[in-house]
Amino acid sequence: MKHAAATEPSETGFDTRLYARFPTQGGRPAGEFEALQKVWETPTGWRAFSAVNNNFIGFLFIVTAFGFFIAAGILSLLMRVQLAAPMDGVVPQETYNQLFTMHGSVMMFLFAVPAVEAVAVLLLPQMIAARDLPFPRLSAYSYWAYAIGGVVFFASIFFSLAPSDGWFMYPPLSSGVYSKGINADFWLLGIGFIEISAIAGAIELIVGVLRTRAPGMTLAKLPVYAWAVLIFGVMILLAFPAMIMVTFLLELERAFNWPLFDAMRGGDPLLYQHLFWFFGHPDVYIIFIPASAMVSTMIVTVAQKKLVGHELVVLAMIATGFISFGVWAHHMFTVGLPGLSAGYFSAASMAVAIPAGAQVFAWICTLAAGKVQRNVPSLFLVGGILIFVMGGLTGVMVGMVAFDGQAHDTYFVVAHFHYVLIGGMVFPLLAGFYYWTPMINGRQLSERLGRWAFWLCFTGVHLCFLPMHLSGLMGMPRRVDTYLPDRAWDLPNLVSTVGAFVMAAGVAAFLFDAMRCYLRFGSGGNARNVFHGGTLEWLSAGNYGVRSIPVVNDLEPLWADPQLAADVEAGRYFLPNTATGQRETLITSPTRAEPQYVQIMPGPSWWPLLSAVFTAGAFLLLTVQAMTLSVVCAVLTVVCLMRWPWFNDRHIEQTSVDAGDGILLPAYVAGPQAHGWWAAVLLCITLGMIFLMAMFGYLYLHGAHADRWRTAAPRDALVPGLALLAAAAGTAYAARPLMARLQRGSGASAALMAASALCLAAALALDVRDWWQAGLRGDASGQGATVYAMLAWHGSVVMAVLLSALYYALRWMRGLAPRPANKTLEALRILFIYAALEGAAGLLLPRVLPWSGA
Amino acid sequence: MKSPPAWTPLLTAFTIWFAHFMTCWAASELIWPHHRLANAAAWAATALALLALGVLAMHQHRQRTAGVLAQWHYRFALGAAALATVAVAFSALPAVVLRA
Repeated sequence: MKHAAATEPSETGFDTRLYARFPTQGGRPAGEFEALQKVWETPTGWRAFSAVNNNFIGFLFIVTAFGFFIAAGILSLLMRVQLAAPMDGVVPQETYNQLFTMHGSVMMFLFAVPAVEAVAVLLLPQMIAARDLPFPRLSAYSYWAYAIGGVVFFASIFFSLAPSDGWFMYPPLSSGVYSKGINADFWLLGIGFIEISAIAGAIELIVGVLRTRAPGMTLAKLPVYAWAVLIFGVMILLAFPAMIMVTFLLELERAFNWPLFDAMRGGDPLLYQHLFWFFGHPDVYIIFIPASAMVSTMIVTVAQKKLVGHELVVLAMIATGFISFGVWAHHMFTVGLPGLSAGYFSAASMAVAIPAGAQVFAWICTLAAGKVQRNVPSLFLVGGILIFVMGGLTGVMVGMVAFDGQAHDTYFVVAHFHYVLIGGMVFPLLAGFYYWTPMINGRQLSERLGRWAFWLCFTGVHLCFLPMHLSGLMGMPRRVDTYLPDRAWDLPNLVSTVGAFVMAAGVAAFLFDAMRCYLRFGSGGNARNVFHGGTLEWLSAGNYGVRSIPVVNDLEPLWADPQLAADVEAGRYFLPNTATGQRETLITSPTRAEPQYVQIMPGPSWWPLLSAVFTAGAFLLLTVQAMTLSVVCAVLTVVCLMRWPWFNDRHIEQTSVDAGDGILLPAYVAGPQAHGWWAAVLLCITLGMIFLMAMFGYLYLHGAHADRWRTAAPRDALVPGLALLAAAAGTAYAARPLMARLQRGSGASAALMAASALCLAAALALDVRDWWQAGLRGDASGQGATVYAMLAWHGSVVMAVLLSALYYALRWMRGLAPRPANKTLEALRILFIYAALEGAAGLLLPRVLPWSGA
Repeated sequence: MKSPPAWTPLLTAFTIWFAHFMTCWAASELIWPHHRLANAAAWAATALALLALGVLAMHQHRQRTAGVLAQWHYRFALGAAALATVAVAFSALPAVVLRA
């Protein structure tokens, strides 16, 4: 039973009977452990900004996200002061509009999603016993992009430049006609930029879950939290593209007067709502699913009992992920959807409560079946479940079309989603802080202060949000800066304000405790696995993660094998040393987690930070229309992005290395086995989703305003364009086999990739010229706007392809594109082939529909 | 019989639900808004989706019998098929009780 994984058929050809060699016997060579520590050292002083290790970046990420939580919380307190009494004049109306817009935007975009992503960056590698995430520099870029973009975006409120149109920025209110100035642009470009950070993190986490698990950690043995991170990452890749596209479209409308959302000229504001909520509602589950898995993980420890219905919980999370993509229009019940359409969304909105409810029952059963530890994490867990269930029940209420018609845009909805988000995410996060702090720094947060924090937060939530159900049902609308006296809204509003401050006191108690605990520098404490958890994160001891990577045979390996921690610490499993003298981790197969190769990981670097600084500059300088500086920043971004992976892809002298007890694994792999190839595929899926949203925009506007489709589709570019795109895909595809076969294959591959990029650019130029000569203009109608929006997006992909071809040519010239295969070529040709497919879709759609032209 | 890729037992049933949902929605809002054809399209899509889920469950049972689908994957696949069947039937209810 000890090595059950060895009894099932192999996925990769790896002989799983080799697991029986572990734990090895005898001592380890002197100096081995010190060498491991040395390689994984975090730079000190100002060089710490170049650190890329997940422990360092993950911690910074969490602190920054929590900082935004505090900042957005302070904005909400200002709002509550304004609403404490009728006709109050504490905050001017325009400022109030900025406050609620920034509160919502910061909580959703700068706190909720980044916080769960940050916890994953810190926790996931420890939980699956990886030394780090597979692309540490991408994590660093993701963090710095988020931190810089977030701070600049938040600072806009101090200069009255903050957006004031609501966190969803609906047109026509947010269009150039009604929102003059650059406030809305700050939101559009700032949020769009932060989305890039989220997607970068998601790609990192998906590849991390699928490819860096400890040997033997099959899907059946995968911790529920790792499942949640996988689902979270996939959902980000599918949902966030809608947000990227909708911010892109609104910015196009504002900047170039393309009437995408102007109903008078063939656009439609409902297109914006569809795209926004196709992102917006799954976003709630993107936040909830990892937080719920944190609950599942902690409840197992708190109850000292295996999770009741583990498989059901995983199934429920996957079902929730799927169904969450079928509920977006329940935010649009009052816009006049066809009744049947509203019915479908209503049914799906109720159906999604079933898997969420299954998880809650699993938690309750686990607690009931175990012997519950009474401590601060358990208080936050139980309190969070209660609050979440209350929010879930009102969610089912507003999922009913008739009820929603009454409650829509009232404080009832405000109460509902605060219950859901606080119970489903904030309380689990606070529980997680108390639970995992000993893992991070070896110290415990205070039980006494923690209880104060819990009871203040728990009481404050109900005091603040329970009365909002009433004020909402009594007709008080959202987003009003004041109200008239004698409407019976005074008392519930006053109670809500008191509750907000009680909750703030609870958060302050936690903050004080956290600062007291984390600001004590010097060597960490020795309180490690104080709650007696069974998952692998409790093995973590330093930047290198685990001393050696164990073979996993159970969902709670530390409970199944009490000797495991000692054996891991003694270096008796995989990679007990640094086999190549560099940072390494084990890459395993996606299903059965069989060892495939040793990944040499990139170390500290300034390039991710510099890339993030210049990306932020390029985006944010656009908002103040400093075009020259923005272009300079964009060029510098490209230079940094090219320089960053320059030395990541290189063959080393050792073709294979000893991964532990004489088991030899390759040190360099290219193609579908390589983790980089997986990231390239995920990137193309994301790009595909973005373009799919653009195509949806075209189809939607065509369906809504076919009478405005007045320009006959030109077809001159159809055949030559498709031929060029086929040539682009063909040459990119051929680059790899030709490189392997020809003596001068490296040069041939560079030439073919350049030819492919040129074909793509030529096809795009033909397409644009065709529409222009047909008389279509972007600012003339919805038809022109959507066609040119698709072309503009495709143009940005083609630009990326041209730069990639240049990058590959430079690598070839420097001798960094070696035969018979290299990872860079494998990744780039996927992008090139994708770009050809996207070009073909963009060429065909507006010419096929409507087939008759106008 | 070949062993299926690991993701198919996890995702196929829910993908059928999603395709069914999107078909029903597109018919009711984008293609035939306020028209009885939207109801008819939903009925047809529901029959097809339920048929597909039945075929999927039988196929997975055969894979299990042939030993190419691990017990864990099989249990998971059956659970997903059951949930997706309920979701398909529930999603289709508005097409039965509401006029377009």
